[in-house]
Order: sequence, then C-alpha cells, then structure tokens
Amino acid sequence: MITKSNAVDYDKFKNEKFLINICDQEPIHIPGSIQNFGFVLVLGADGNIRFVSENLDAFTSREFSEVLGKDLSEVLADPLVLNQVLLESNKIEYFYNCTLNISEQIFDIAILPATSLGYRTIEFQPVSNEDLDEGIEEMLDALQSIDSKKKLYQVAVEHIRKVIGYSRVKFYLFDENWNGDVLAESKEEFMPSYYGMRFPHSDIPKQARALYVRNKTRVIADVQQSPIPILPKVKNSEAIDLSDSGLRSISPIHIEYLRNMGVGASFSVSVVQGNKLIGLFACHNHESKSIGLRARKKCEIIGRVVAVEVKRLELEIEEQRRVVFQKKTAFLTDHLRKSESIDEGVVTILPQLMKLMSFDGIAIGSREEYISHGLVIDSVELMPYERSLLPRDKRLIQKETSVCSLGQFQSTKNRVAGFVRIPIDIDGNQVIYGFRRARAKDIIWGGGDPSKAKNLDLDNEGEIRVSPRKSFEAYKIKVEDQSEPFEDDVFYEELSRVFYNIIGGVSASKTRPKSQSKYFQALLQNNLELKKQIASLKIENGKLYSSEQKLNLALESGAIGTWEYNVEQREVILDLKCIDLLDAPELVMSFEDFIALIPADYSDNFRRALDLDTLQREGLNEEIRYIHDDDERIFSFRAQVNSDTELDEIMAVYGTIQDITAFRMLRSEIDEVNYELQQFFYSDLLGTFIADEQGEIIRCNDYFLELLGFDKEFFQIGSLNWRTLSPIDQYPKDLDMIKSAMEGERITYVKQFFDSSGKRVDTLFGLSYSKDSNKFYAMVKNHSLEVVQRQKAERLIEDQRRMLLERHEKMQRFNLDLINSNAELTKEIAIRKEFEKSARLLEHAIDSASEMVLITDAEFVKTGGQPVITYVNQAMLDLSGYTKEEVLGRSPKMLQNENTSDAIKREIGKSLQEYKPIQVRIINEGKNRNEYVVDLSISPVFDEHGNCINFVGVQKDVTEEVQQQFEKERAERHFKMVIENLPGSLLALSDSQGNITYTSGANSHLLKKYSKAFDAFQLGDSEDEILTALETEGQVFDIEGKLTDKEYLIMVQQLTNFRGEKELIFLAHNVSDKKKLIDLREKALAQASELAEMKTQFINTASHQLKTPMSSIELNLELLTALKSEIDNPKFSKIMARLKEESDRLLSLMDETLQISRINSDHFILTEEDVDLVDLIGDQKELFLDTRIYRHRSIKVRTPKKKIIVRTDLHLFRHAFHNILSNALKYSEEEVEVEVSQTKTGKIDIFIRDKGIGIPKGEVEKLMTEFFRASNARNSAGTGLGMYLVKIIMTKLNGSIEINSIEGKGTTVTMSI
Amino acid sequence: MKSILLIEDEPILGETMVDILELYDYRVHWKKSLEEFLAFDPKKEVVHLICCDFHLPDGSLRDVHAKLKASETLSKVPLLVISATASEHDMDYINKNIDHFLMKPFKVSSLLDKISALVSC
Repeated sequence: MITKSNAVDYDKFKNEKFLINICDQEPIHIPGSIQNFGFVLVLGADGNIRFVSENLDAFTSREFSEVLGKDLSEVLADPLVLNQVLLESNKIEYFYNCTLNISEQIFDIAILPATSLGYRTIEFQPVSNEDLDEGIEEMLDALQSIDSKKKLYQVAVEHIRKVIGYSRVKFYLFDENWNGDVLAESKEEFMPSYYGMRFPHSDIPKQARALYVRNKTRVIADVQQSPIPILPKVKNSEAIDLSDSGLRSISPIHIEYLRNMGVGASFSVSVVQGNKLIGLFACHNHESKSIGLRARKKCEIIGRVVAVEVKRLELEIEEQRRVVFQKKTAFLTDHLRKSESIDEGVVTILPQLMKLMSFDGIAIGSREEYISHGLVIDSVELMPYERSLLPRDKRLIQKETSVCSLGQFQSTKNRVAGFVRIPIDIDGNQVIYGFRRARAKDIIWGGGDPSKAKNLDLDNEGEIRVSPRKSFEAYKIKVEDQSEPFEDDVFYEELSRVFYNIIGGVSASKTRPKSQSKYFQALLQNNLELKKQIASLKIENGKLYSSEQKLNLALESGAIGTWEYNVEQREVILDLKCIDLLDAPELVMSFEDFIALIPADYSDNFRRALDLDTLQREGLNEEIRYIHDDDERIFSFRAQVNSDTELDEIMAVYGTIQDITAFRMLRSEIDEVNYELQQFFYSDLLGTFIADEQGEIIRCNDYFLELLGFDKEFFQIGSLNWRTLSPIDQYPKDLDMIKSAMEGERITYVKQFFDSSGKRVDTLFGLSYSKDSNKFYAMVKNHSLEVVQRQKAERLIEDQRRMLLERHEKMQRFNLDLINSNAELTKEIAIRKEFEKSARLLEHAIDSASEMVLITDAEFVKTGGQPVITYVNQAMLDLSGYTKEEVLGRSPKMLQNENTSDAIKREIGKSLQEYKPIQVRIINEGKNRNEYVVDLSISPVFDEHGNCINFVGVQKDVTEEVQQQFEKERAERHFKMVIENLPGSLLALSDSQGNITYTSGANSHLLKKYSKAFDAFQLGDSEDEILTALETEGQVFDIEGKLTDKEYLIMVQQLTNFRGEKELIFLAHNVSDKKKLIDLREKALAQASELAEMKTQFINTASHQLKTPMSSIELNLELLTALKSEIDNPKFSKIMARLKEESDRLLSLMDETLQISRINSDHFILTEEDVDLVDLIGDQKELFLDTRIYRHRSIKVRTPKKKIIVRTDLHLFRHAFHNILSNALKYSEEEVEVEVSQTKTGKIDIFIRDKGIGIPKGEVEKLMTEFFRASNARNSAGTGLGMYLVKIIMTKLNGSIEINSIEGKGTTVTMSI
Repeated sequence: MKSILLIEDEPILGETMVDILELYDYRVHWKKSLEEFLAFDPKKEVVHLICCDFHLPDGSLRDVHAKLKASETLSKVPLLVISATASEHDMDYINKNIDHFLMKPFKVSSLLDKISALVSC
C-alpha cells in the first residue's frame, strides 16, 4: 500500500511500468502465513519449535501454544524425520505416511531447507489416497512418443486434469516478453475457454516467476479462505522464508485476480528449461479443492517431461532446418568465394540469400555503403540507428520487429516493419540487414486491454491500491506495424560466421588468392587476350608505355563486369559493373529482359549463343562484340559454361562484359604515333637505319644509302652491315661507343665510313640502343665541312688565351714586390705591440700578485740618504692600509715595526750597501698599527752597464703561518704531556705494517723489546683483520689486547703523515683493574639472584614438608574420632604414636627451619667464645647415652691428651656436632667412634665414624641440600634439614664438613674447623 | 570389594591412609616407591583406583603416569593424585594432565568422597 502523502503524483502511477514494479516488489515469499490445507512448524537453530501455524488444532489434538518451544520429538517420533531435521540440505525432503504423537491422522511431510537464520520449516499435509506411482508409466509413454509440440501440450493438459480433477487445465507458452499464449486446454463444458488467447506479462510478476522456477507446483486450494498466520507474529517475517513452501499463503492481489476470474481453486505446474520458465500449466477449479502432496509431485513430473520433450522437438526441427540451410549457404558461399571481387559476388548471391532467409529485403555492407536487394531501409535513414548502437551491441545480432518505435523511416513507410542486424566482421561494422515487411495480424488478449491489466485505484480509505483487472473476456487487437519475428537465430549466427570467414579475410588484405574456377578462367583469358593485343602494338616509345600502363590500370580496377545466367530459372544476375555498363534497371532479371538490353542487331546472336541446346552441344567460348547504339561504345561479351560435371548438366553460364572503347581509342593513338615516327625515319635530311646487334642493317632510309653512294635498289636485309663499312682504325672508338649506347646512352660522335667506292666519308654519327628490341637506332650526317670550321675557331681561341695568360703573369710579379715591402713593416709593428703587451701584462701580474712588491731607487747608497719608494703593488697597499699617494716618494722604513730587531736592520743595511740580495723575516706595521710578519726578500736591479738602479723588495705575509706553527707546537707539547702523565696509558706509532717507530707514555718502556706493535699487544692473530678493517671500514678501530700480562684497551687509528705515508697510532689504556672490578660485581649480582631463588625454593619445599606431617596428624585425628568408641582398639595406641611422632617431626621441622632462617639472616651475629672441644664431645656423649633409646650404645672418643680450645660460637657448633652424632647413632647399631685431631697449621678435624647402613652412592653430594633424605633412610623419622643445617653452621663458623660413606658399611663425617 | 593401588612414600601418612581405607572396606596395595610400583603386575591383581603422591623418593608422578598410559589395563583405571606440592611447575603438570587431584592436607571425608566416586564409575 502506498499512502497518499507519500505519493508524489497520482498520474505518474498510471504509468504501466510503475504498476508492474509495485507487483514486482511485493514480498510474496515471506507472507508469514499459510493456506489451510495443512499446518506448519518452524524449528529454530536449536531444534526447538519456534513458530507454529495457528491451525495446528484443526489437524491435531493440540493448540499451537502447547508445542511452542518444545522439541520436535514432542510432535512425532519418526527417527528418519528427526534425523533429517538435523542434517543440512538445500532441497526439500519429503516423507510420506508419517504418524504423529499428537494426531490420529497420517501425514505427508515436507522439510524445507534451512533459511539463512537457521530456521527450518516443516509442512504437514494429511495423506490423500493418491498412489504416487499409479499410471505414471503410461503417462510418460504417452508424452514421450509425440512428434509435435502442440500435441504434446494437449496430451499433457489432459493428463494433468486426470490427476488433479480440476475443471480446467490450460497451458501457456511464454514469448520473449513474458506474454503467455494459451496453446492447449482441457476443461469441463461449463468453464469458459481461454484457448488461443494471449495473457499479458504483468499477470505473473517477476518474483513470482522466480518462485515458479523454484517450486514447480503451486496450489491455492481455496480462494475464499483467509490466510492462517504463523505464530508468534514477528515484525521481520524474513525469519520464516516460505519460498519453498507448498502451503505458503497467496498474495492478496493474486487472490483477487483469481476471484475476478471466477475460480475457487488454482493450481500451477511450471515447465522449466535450465533456469528459465518457458511455460506454465494453469489449472483452475470452479470451487475450492486442495491437492495432495503426491498428486502435486505427479504433476511436477509431467511438467518436467514436457520441458524435456519440448527441447527435444525443438532440436529435431532445428536440425532439419539447419541441414537445408547449410546446403543452401554452402552453395552461396561457394559462389561468393569464386567471385573475382567481393562486391560482385555479394551482388550475385543477394537475391537467393534473401529468399533463403525469408527476408523481404537484404543489405550487406557497412554504415557508409550497403549493397542491397529487395525491400530495404535506405542507408542514410539507418544511420541514426547505427550510431545509437554501443560497440558491444554492434557485435551481437540485433532484432527489431517494429521499426516505427525507432523513429521515422521515410523510405519505408508502410513497407519495412522489422529488421535483423547480423554483424559479419569482428567489430560489427560490416553487417547484413534482413528486412521484413509489415504483416497485419490479430492478437487475442485474455481479458481486456493488456495495457490496463493492473490498475491503481483509490480504495475506501482513500489509499492507492493495486488491483488486477476484472474482466477476462477476449480482447482482439489488430497489429499492423509489426513484422514477423526474427526467430532463426541459429541461421543468423551461421550466416554471420560464413560471411565473417569471407569478408573478414578480405577486409584484411583486400585481395585473395585467385581461384581456378571456370568463371575466373574466363576473365583471365579475356585479360590475357587484351594484353597480347597490346603487346603486338608495342613500339619502343615512352608515350606508348604510359598509355599501356593506363590501359592495364583500367582493366585491373574492375572495368570488366560479370554476369551469371541461371539456366534452370532463366534468370540473369548482374554485378554492379554490369549494371553500370548495360544501364540495367535491376540486378536480377529474366533472360528476356537481359537480351533486351543488347542492341537489336546483336541480340539474335546472343540468344543463339546462350541457347540451352547450343550450350550443351557446343559450349560457349567465343567473343561477341557489339557497338552500343547511343554513344558508340564498344562492348565485348564473353561467356563460359559452368556445368555439373557429374550430371553433365548445365548449371549456369558465367560471362563478362567489357567496355573496350578505350582500348580501341588507344589503338588509333598508337597508329598515329607510328605514322609520325615514320615521317622522321624516312627523312631526306638525315640518314637513318636500324641494325641488329651484329650490325646488320635491318631497315634504312634512302638518304643513308645515298650518303654512302649505294643504290636504292641495292639494299635488302642482310646486304649491309654498318660495322663492316667502318675503316679498321675506327674500330676501337666504335666499340667504346657501342658499349656506351648499350648502357642506355644516346651517343653522337664523328665517324668515318667507307662509301660504296671505298673512299672515306666524314660523318656525324648518332647511335642509341633498345634493350627491348635488341636493336641499334642510328642517324648519319655528312660532317666534312663542320670539321674544318671548328679547327679554325679553336686556333683563334688558343691565341687569345695565351695572350691573356702572359698579361696575368706580369701582374702577379708586380704584386709580389709590393707584398714583400709591406711585410717588413707589419713585422716591426707586431714586435712593438707584443712588447707593450708583455709590459702591461707584467705590471698587471705584479699588481694582482698575492706577494707584496715594493721598488725603491738605489741613489741613497751613494748619497747616504734614505731609499725612496718608487713603486708598490696592490697587495702591499691592501695589507698596509696605505694609499699609493701616501707611500710613493717616502722611505720603506715607515712600514717597519719597532719590534724589528736592530741586528736584522743592520743586516739589511749591509746587503743594500753591497748590492747583495737578502732574505729575512721581519715584523711590519700597517697604517692602523696592525702588526704582520713577512718574509722579505730584497734584490738589486742592475742596468745593462752593471749599475744598480733599483731595489726590488718582495714580501710574503706569513703571519698566519707563524701563528699555525705556534699552535701546532703547543698542541704537540700538550699531547705529549697528557700521554706522559696518564697512568697506565701509552702511545705507539708505527708504519702501515705495524713496525713501531715511536713510543711514548709512562709504561712505554714495556714496548721497547718489541719491533711490531701487533706482537707487543699480542694481537698477532687479528693483525690482518685489523689492517683490513682500517683500510675498508674506517679510520678508528677499538680492540682488546694485552701487554705483558695486563689487559689493555687499544684504539688503533690510521693516519696519513705529512709525507703521505700511512701510519698507525696505537693508543693503549690499561684496563686490568677495571675488568677485575666488573667481574666481581657481576659475580656478586649473580650470587644475589641465586640466593633469592634459593630462598623461594626453600620456602616452597618447607611448606610442602610441613604439609605432610600435618596430613598425617589430620587423618589420624579423624581416624581417632572415628574410633572413639573403641578405645580398646589395638589401632588406638598406634594412632596415638603416629600423632606423637608426626607432631614431633613438625616441631623439629619448625625449629630447624627457624634456625636456618636465623643463621642465614643478614643480622645474625656469631657469639664467639673459647670452647674446649674435648669437654664438649664428652658432654654430648653423656647426653646421648642418658636417653632411653641409646643408653645401651657405646661411643668411643679419642682425643689428644691436651685440651683443644677453639674460639667459636658454642651454641652453633654444639648443634652441628649433636646432629652428626645423632645421625651416626640413628643409622647404625654398632659402636660409634669420635676422633679429634689437630694439624700443625692449627686446623682441627673431628671424625665421627659409624658402621651403619651408609649412604647410597651418588647421594652423598645431595645429603647436605635441604629436605634431602637418603633413599635407604625413608622409614626413619627425620626432617631432611639436619645435614643442611650442619653445613650452614660449618660455613658460618668458617669450618667445613666432609662425608665419606660406603652403602652398607658405614659413614665417616669429618668436621674441620 | 574394590581394591586401591596406593603409591605414597611417607611411612606414617601411608600407614594412616591404609588404615582409613581398610576401615571403609577397600583393599589397599601400598607401594612406597616408584620401584615398588613398577614391580606391580596389573595382570595378577585387579585394581579399581590408583592413588598416587606426586613426589616419590626415586621418581615422580610423571614416571607413574607414563607407566599407566603404556599399560593397557592400567590406562583404564582412574587415577587420583595426592600431593602437597606448591611448585608452579608441578601444578602446571597436574592441571594439564590429571583429572582428579587432592591437595594435602585433606579431610578423610573428601578422600573417601573422591575415592567412592571414582571407584563406582
């Protein structure tokens, strides 16, 4: 429903497409309700019943609410069904004849596939009496032996009606637009008939079609029945997808449709091929009637069989047609292949192709140009349609049965109604169009105007609703603007393929191999003939060649038309060229029309030549020529018979027509040229002849004969040879010239011939040669006069030339003198220029030099005055800060700093006096009193007479250099100081191979005895590695080494010294002490963590050890409680003993644990005092022998005579000794011996020996770990802490303990202190 | 009468457990070490339950467990482990491999409850 407020425009809804869309979107697969002829249970993913149809009580003894949430087994007990529910399946599973726990009735069950949410719907329908198998075989036999589709449909509807007993069964077949045509019907008399009608596609919306494919049968048992809801209701009814349900309730629109149709029940059976619904059995009953599951299944089988049979019949028919089609296309394509050009071939086959495809018109070509035949749409008018096609569409077959819908086609008004467009090349640009004319046709629609099949109404509440049509009366529509549909897709494809093979190949190369068909041979022969004729006219002249080329071009560009005479049909098919030549009205014409095209004078000849009898008797091979009436064009007809060789029957005559007018014209042109040439050849001014390669004159003119004095009558071929007419001395030149001529040159030279009387004749001789004819063409002219004249002229010219040459030489000599005097002048000028240039250069060089230059006069030496500055350069001025004016004319002393020593001043003065050069380092001062150090060198300058005229002082500023030197020395001093004073550090320098060159540092004497640094630092093994690393990885390398026995950290660095040699620096630092410290710290850390670990371990074990006696006490106490009334029970005392023992053990465990913890504590302090060991041992002996258990044992004590006094913690030591002695007594039965002895170093050993059970091998070491008990001591009471405690005590007391034991023989424990 | 194979090295605890179990009508085979247990031939004596301490003087539960798993008959007998162990390593083994476990000290009632439950199934 669409409310008005949402509706934008009511009119819009009237649009048919919109209406259909509404129906297409109706969610009919999830109505949430069912029909009443069965009930439904929906199981959740957990297998419990989640939903139930409300009508459960109609079939069972339960209300729907009673089974909700219950397991399925509440409803039925059939294990097969219960099991199936658990299995995954994507199809409907059927179970027949099932009994339920909650009903008397027997049911057929359908289990639908699980929905996406895991819900499973189970349908129950009471069992009908139908037998599933009954009659099915006969039915199948009947259906599978039919040879026409129509009969098949009829038999099928009869059978279905028999099975379901409805009052009308009809069969629809869908067309490509989903309109359905009723093709078969079986009904009761009283039901209206729909046979032959067409039902609009909107009757079955899209999603309903999808459901028809999925569920092949569909029953609506009662259109009056309101739907039964599935409860509880859910908002999202997607949960219960009833797509596969046979009970699914019906769309209200469909119900209304059925009511309008006046039926009470409806049933449909789908006919599906692949996934496509092709037809539908629509069954109606006048009153409500349900159909059982089995009957439905049976009908479904009929539907399936029909689908298969239809396909089979279609294939059979198609196959038959295909055979015929292929035969015909094979003939046509063969023809096409044999044609000289595609266009011609196509033109000839078009009429037949059109007939074959049942078109009314046909066109082949591309958008620009079509070759067409019959009723067609003009190519110009097709243009917009062609442009509208997408590239993809172009490659597919396009069909249009109502071209009016594509727009106006003026040329086809009321003629062409539809076309099929068949692409025949890879891009779909080359196509075949098949056209069909309009066919008036009546279509009877079932129920009114199909465009009004569904309507939008306003219902009572003013809401828009969709309602189906009310009338199903037949409605006739006359269709006038449509063509027959184009249905032979297979043929269209075949056609596309065939043409693709031909056209595709041709468009690639535009030519194809010439076939050897007779038809082609005719053409070829024709061509050859022409060429022969032309060849016979060929004359060696450029003009003629080009004319011949023109002719060939004309021939090759298709100036020959072809035609085909179909003898059987007495029809002639012309190609385009033929039409052009003959001005024919049509491509295909009757034989008589064809003959009529030929001028009456010749037509009888034609008729006779093409007469069937004549052809059969004589064949046709001759040329018929005629001149066209109007324009005097000349035609040449040739024809050849193409007969079926097997049957000896004439199939067709293939012929050519050629316009040979041009050829004739050419011929006359050639004649003319020939004439003209002859005029020249037979000239009276020039001798001409033509000779063969041997020189035999083949032809000559009269003048030539006259020239050489031969009689005209004398000449005949073979009587003259121009070579033999040449004097012998002419031969060499002749041979040269003949050679040149044969290479293509046109030669003219002066030559002598003998005349008939043997006299020499001077001639001007022209010669050329033709390779085509192998002939020489010659012209001969009398030359005597010309020779004399030329010689005279040549002498004259020679005199003139000589005179000019003499004059020229005179001029040259004169010129030479002039040039020489000039050169000297120029030279001098150049020298001077050069001199000036170098002077300037020098001054410039001095000015821009970085050294300071100062020049003084030398007068002062003689006069005893001051030197006067005559020149300073720019560098001098820059450094001093003076300007040139301030300096010139003054004494250089103005630059001197007062710090310059007098000694130096004197030295300078002395040198100047002696005119000697001097070099000194002095300190100068600038204008701003800035000091600078310079290296000064003064040189005297002497003139050519040896007099000193100047002093030149050159100064170099070395202030920075001096400064750097100073810094460097200071750094070196500092470095040396540091190395010398660093404790444990030393420095060694070596060459690149490690040979020590220098040592320094406090310990450097240690290096003295080594020559190699690597040996000194004990790095011999890694020498190569270090050297490589320094070379490749970088300049610095850190490594640990040793010097003597001390650890050193050595930094090796590679440097390049001032000589450019590689040097290694070893800076070694003693790290022995540091290393020791680190080791110690690491050890301490490890110990600390070990200790912590041990403590945890100890606590764990101690708690475990505590729990064991606790368990015993606990159990025994409980046991005691259990035995409380039996105080006399012999167990009683045993339990009490156990309790005592375990409680003792607990106590001593606690005690020892505490002691251990106390001793291990950091705060524990030994209380040392002097202890007399002999006393102590004696006391302990007494203590043990006083006890009840040990009183009969003996302890032998052996001590030195004197007292042994030890300073120790009495309490702890006593505890340790007590423990050991106690063990010795406990694990032995014989005498225990205690011996004390003191060594010379003051160490005291106490040996406690027993001859008891001993300790098993391998356990001695573990004995002193906490809680360890020897495997042979388990039965004795003990804590496992005793010996551990002893060990701790002895360690604390700076003593030690050692155990030696042999299992079974005894143990000796040695306490040393 | 159901019989129990007891593996316990503590003499007093072992004795007490034997007393208790016999009091409640179980027959007890007491093995005091791994060695004694390994010598036990399951073909000669039928046992319905194995009750085992974790630490033994010459081995541990691991060894016992290995033998049980290897034996066709004993692998089907339920195993109850009794221990006072507190080490994480041992507890880890128990959690991963042992279904029935009793921590020391325990009550007679819980011991009997466990045993009767295991023996009856």
